[in-house]
Amino acid sequence: MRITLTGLSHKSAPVELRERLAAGPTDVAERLLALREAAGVEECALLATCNRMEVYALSRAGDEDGGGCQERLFRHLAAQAGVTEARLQPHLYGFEGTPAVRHLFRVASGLDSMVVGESQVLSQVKDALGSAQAAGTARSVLQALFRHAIESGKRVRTDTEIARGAVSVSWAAIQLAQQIFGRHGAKTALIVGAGETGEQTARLLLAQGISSRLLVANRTWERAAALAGELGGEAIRFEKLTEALTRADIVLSSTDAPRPILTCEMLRHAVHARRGRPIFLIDIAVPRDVEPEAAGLNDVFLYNIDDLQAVVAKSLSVRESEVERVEAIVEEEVKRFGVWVRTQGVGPTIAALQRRAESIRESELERMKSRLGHLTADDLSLVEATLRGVVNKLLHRPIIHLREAAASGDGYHEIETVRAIFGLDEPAAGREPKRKNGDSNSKDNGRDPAAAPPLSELATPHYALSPDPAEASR
Amino acid sequence: MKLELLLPIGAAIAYFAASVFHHAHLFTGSGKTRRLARAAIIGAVLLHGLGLLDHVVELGRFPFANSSETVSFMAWCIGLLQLMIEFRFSWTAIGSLSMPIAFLGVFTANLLPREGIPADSILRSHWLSPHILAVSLGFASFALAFCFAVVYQVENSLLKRKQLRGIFPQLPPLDTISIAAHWLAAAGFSMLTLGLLSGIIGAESNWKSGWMLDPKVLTSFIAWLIYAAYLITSGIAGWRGRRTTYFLIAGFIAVLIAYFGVNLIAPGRHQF
Repeated sequence: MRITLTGLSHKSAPVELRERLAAGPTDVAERLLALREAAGVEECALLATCNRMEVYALSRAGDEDGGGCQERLFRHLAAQAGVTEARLQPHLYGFEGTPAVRHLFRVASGLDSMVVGESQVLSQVKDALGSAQAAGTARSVLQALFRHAIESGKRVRTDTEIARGAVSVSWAAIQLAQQIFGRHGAKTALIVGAGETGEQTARLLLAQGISSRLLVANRTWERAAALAGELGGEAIRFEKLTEALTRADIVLSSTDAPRPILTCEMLRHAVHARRGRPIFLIDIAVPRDVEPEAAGLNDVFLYNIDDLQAVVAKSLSVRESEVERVEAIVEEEVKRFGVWVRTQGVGPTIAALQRRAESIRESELERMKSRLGHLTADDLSLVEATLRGVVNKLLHRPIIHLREAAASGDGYHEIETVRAIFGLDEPAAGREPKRKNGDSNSKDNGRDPAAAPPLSELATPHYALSPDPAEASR
Repeated sequence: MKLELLLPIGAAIAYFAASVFHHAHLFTGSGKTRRLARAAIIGAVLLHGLGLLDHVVELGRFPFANSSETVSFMAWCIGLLQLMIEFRFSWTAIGSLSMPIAFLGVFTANLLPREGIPADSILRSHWLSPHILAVSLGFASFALAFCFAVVYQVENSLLKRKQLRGIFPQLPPLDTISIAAHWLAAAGFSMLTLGLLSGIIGAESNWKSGWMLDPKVLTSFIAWLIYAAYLITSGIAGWRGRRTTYFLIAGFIAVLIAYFGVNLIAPGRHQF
């Protein structure tokens, strides 16, 4: 059983191919069930965003050839996309074991995103887990894998600056507006030029709780009125801009006028009328809409496209400088997940050991009871407690040893030893409690299926030492 | 060591630590320094408050009988106000200024005379406690308003120069600083008015005449006028932002002169 990953992203495939495999929220469950069926895997989850489509799967017990599983996944995806396998092949990537785990953790941390450190991908990873859980295709291993990935994503965002700062001009403007005016929603925004950026920023100002009143000015009155109507604002005639400037706290200008339309004189007048209330001017037009000299006026904060792009560039460079620290955290988290997997491996063996001891204690007590008839109920319970104490004390060291070995990566060997010493794989009719699946002729070669966990195979060195193509590509 | 010594020393150390951690947070913005700053200020206000309580229990009166006690009480009011601001708004940056002021207060309190008011002093009056209580609360509010005003000026200049890294992300929104400073100044002004009124009533009964020419009374009145001008310009004329912060800075300087400066230059009968 191995964790495998097959997928494509903005780094490997063009949008024409990505959109063929895009999954809407409604058909994810259906696709997950079809995937599990077609690829013959134990568990699967689908991480689908506009930049990537990745299938995480856990191959079935005995399916040691992870490549076979990937092969089936690949064929299924080609059929689904309606393209030939040869067309899809060069754009797909596939990892197994640790590299697959690492890839998901890097994705959740925003390291694989188009804009490094972006946060949306983390909620998309959460959604992927939610959908797979709802469809019943993610059980213990993939659930744990995704939970660890989400933890890892959260950790890098709090412990490093990978997600700090604005990475688009609109966001840089919004963050500055927030830093000047807070989020009281009482500020008036004036949009000069009803273009796409103006509209987008206006929507953000409203959504972020910075502005509640919106003024829209545009050369063509109809366009201003239309946008104002759409956003619940007020349309302003171009001739009334000076008056509007005294009302507006945030001004976003993005017209294609060849000369400045907000002159120093207009702003001087506005500043006087505003009596010291600060005014934040965002001039993203080229050529500029606001006379640059206006920056010298008191209580005027004038930021042009270059200033905002400098903010963006700074944020991006800060993020880039954090990549190394994030990679280190991802590595730690991958190791932690490895430990979890290995610890899971010893769990059923410990349970089997405890069950065996308990059954011996019970049967011995039963046998003794006929000879201990003269004891009072109190004395009998004392004997029972003593026996339980002895059993627990005897088992304490082996259990601790197993857990420690599991955490250090040697769990698999120790499982074999403990199972052999205590005869946990021997049929023990009459001595052990009745097993749920106690068919000794099962394909597990006589192992108690409950005691021989499917996960234990994940704990093999095979899992930990699998080749790491990600390492080579980085 | 006796409790009455241990608590003020502990409080002074905690205020110092709070100053250091508030600065550390201002410059790094890390969550760890914020938590440390929070812990230090809680410790400082708690230890200082217990020290004052211990004093009250031991002496059976309010800690308003000499310069040392009143300065210490004012410092505690500043610490308490800052703590309330941090709990309500998480504006740790203000603490980088207010915590050093509180620390200086506690520090100077230990250097100032501790003798009680002589029995024949003209300061002895039933109006003394309300007078000092009101003046101390006013002083603390003005100190915080001053901190907000300075932070406003700093943030204004950073925004003008487009220096958006470093301490900038840790500063509260410019507009909210202005609003907070306004409320603090208004509260301080009310307290100062009450303090002056109670002082005048007390002086009328004890000094009979001449109190109006006392240098401390005169400078306090100047401070009162500055804050009155601030409230008129912002409340009636609708002034906002940077230009109003000059009143708050000038007002606090006047308050400092009234409280400390006058005693050094022209000591009158109003010893503290």
